[in-house]
Amino acid sequence: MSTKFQIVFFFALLLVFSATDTFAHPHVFVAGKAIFVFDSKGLSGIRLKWFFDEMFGVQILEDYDVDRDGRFNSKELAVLKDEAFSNLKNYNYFTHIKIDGQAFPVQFVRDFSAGVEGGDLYYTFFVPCHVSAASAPRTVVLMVFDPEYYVDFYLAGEVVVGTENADAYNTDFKVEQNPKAAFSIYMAVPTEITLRFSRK
Amino acid sequence: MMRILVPLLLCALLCALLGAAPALARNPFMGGGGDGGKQGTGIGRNQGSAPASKPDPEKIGAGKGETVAPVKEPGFFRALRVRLAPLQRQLKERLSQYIKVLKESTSLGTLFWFLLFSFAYGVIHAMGPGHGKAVASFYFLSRKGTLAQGLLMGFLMGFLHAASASAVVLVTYFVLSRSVMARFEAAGGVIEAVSFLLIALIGLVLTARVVYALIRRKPLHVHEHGHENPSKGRGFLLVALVAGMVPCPGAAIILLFTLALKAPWLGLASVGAMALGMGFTISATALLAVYFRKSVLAAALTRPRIFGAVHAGLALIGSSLVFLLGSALFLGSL
Repeated sequence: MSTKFQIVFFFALLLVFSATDTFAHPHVFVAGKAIFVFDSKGLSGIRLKWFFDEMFGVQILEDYDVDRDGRFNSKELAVLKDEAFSNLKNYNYFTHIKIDGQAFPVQFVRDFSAGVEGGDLYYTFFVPCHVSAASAPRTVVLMVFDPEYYVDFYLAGEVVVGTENADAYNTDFKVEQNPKAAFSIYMAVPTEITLRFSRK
Repeated sequence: MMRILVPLLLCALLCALLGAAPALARNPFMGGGGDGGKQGTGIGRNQGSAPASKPDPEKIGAGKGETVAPVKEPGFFRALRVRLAPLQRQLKERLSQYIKVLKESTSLGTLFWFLLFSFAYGVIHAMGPGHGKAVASFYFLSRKGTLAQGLLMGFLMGFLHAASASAVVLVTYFVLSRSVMARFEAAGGVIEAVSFLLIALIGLVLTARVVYALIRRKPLHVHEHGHENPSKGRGFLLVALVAGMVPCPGAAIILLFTLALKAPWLGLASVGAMALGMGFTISATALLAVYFRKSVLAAALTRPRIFGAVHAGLALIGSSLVFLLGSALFLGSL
């Protein structure tokens, strides 16, 4: 290849790298909790709690904490839910669940609430997801991510997992970045939370 | 050699076109469609790990029966890209800290670092999704550009992108005072659709001109020696205006934050520095296209018989890509 063509090639490569969106670009950052709630039959659902970065939190408070008391009363909460939460239905609430390898589409959630804890804004809600327990272990995989990567969720080590009401069950967690589940052209790697449980 | 060059060029441009499509990502909390019922499927790219930041149970508050799960990292890493998310988060945290410090007491040193971080945030921000870079590079593929034009277009786009966001935020904040973020998203969506439509129209006009000139067998600003006239007119400024008018969510986020803290001047200063940073990135892309075109034509000059075809090809590809990008984005935004 002559030098001239090498130069052409060089510019072509650089152009592709810069004109395409090679770089990750989230606007909102979320750390949080995923609590697996049990009942007498087995898993009843997952309660998620999302703590937002300061800038997003301050905006939400500015827009929806109308009386400026640092918390949301039921009226404020209703407006907040309507304007800055309900739309997440279109995104399955960013919550992606697999039960024994089978995808479980999240269609609705309940018990939405929001508030401030330790200076940080949080959203919390419950994702109903019934998985009956047996003596053989069952596996539930939870990944929370925004495929458009406007929101960056649950970086490694920034998610707290736990169980509630699980005394009758053996539970075992595994949390890891799953490179195979890298989504979108931004190559973001979601954190995969795997719960295995069985009846004691 | 052209057998290599032409597919390479096409491939490069198509990649750029595809890459520009996710410019549609909007604040999902306030609006936007998502992918409906589809579950996230792993594309299976074997990318490396995100860095293991220390678990911070204090912040998240692990209660009774809850644990900060130890994170198992995959055994290898090779992705600079996955490191950019935490970097941006730190940058954003730094910015909010500076704003709070500067609000209490102004010191020149802190102000300097604050503006520098804002500039860096702008540079990185513009590397993300956005159609400005693609429009600028397609435009300068289709016609000869100069260093000054590339710089001017890039910085103008960056400036307008930030100015438009500031205007929308300030008007919404002071006139309507509630639900600013949601209204910003709504207004942004409309302006974006208009911008996409205008880009498509500009692309159509550019393409029509090229086709017309080809049919009439007019040389496209080329002398016999293969030397181009610098393109006349201020068409590139119009392109910058149309592509730059979309309000920048990154700038809006900073400005809203400072408005909430009753320090809007810090926000405007930061947004100004950020605009410069975005201009830097967009200019760099535009200039890449300018010099890419230059290098292609220089290489083709050694074969006078194909020079005309290469020249016409660049004009045709560049201008039709502006049209295709604009229409794809516009249709996607409906």
